[in-house]
Amino acid sequence: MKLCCFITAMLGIAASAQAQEPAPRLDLHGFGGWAYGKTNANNYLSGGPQGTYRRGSFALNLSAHLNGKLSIIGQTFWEQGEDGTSTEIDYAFAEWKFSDALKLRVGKVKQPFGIYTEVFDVGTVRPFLSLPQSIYGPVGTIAVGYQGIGLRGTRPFGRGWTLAYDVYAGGIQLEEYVAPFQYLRGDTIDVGLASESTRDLVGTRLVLSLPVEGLSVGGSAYSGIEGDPGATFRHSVIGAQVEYLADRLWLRAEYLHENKTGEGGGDGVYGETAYFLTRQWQLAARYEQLVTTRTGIGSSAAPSLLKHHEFAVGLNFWVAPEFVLKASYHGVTGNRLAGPDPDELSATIAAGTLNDRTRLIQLGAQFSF
Amino acid sequence: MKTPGVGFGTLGIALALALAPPLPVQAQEAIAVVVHPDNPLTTISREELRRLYLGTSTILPKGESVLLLESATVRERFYAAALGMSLARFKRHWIGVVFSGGSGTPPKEVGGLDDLRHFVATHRGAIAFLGAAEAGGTVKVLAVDGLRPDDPRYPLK
Repeated sequence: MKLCCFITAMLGIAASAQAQEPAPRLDLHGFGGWAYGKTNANNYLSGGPQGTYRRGSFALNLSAHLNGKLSIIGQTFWEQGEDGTSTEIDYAFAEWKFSDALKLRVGKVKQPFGIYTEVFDVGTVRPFLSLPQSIYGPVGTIAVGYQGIGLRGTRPFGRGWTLAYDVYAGGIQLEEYVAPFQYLRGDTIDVGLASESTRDLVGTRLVLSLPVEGLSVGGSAYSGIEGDPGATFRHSVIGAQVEYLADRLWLRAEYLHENKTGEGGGDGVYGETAYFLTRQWQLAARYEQLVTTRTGIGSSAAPSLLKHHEFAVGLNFWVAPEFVLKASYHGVTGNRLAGPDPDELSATIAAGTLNDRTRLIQLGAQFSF
Repeated sequence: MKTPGVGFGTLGIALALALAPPLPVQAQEAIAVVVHPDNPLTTISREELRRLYLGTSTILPKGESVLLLESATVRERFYAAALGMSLARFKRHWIGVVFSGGSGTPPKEVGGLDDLRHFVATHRGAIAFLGAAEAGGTVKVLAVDGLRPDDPRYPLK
């Protein structure tokens, strides 16, 4: 009898606890886009000298909110380029919410670094088809996601002040366009993009929203170990960001400094602005530059291989906040990120035909739901 | 040389408008913020509303997990008054929140007023906004910054 009462009481408590919990919910979102690009010379972003139509992408984002505390969130990304279609798991993680100020995340999580890492391929939150390459390009500084464990939260301080924080530990996989280094080292250029693992990594990001509506400032940093056993080095990156988003005007700027102990480093910076002329027409402009150094590599043979300067202007037509048509013109000086096919780099330089000025026109559409 | 002038047609229209009885000035109706009747909240600040509707906070001030709802008829006015944002900017903000893997969920648009009131009345964590005259008795109307919707200083108009 006592056992029966106990079970009934426990079921009652469980039922009343369940009644106060929100019902499980499944949310499905997605985004994608397509871009055409044509350059005067070199390959850069979605463009090549012949004009490239094949660049398209699509992602599905699924989040299951099992109760008020536990969410399971994943995103798969498909991208089609000249080399075929690639599929990636952008992230797949579990989040346990203790409170808004403290959430635990475990799994493959978007790397919280700077303004754009967590919305890397989402075209409807930015003014250009592509992100600034000096920071978000294949420069080996920011990963799509980290594998590990992290804490995040927000803490309001009243009067419009809010601090958002992330701390995390684990490992990341970085992609870098290494053909210029291979050429300058005198190595065989066997690959364009190389993938490097950074392990034993710790990182953080702090973003402070100010009482001026839409204005925030922040900083990010991480440090980990990179390289093969016996030849490891510490890879550290720090960044600073400022963002102002109003109904008509968007302003964003970021700076990033990378240091690979004994190996070199780099500095990337960009400033970006966009202005809505009407509800639908938006003008955009961006300047960015990247300077890379590598120990033991002299760039005198081809100085442009370690530099990237870019100015871009764009015109967008927002059909809806979830669907935008974009056109942009990019003027690039340097071959750090814009160049011929990697297997043609040596021959192009030897023939004296490496063009260090790339002009790119991009047209495309981006959408989300 | 032809000089710009005012034609008889224009003058006639101006005269007719001047002599016509004044139209009643349509005051902007207050927008009420409503919750489940059992919700212990009685007032909410604009700062708290802002954090909830931007997804910065996912818990109501008295501890319930929030379920955000919106009424299509007054949402442009609500987001302008409560958040200082256009609807387009508000939508873009939530696109960023959703794809950065946040646990917040954007406001759910509920079609008719009856459905909206019913939804709020049957979900403890629900919060919604609608024209103050349409709130009815099945949901609890919150004061905003300590002011009721019938107060001339009420901020959501």
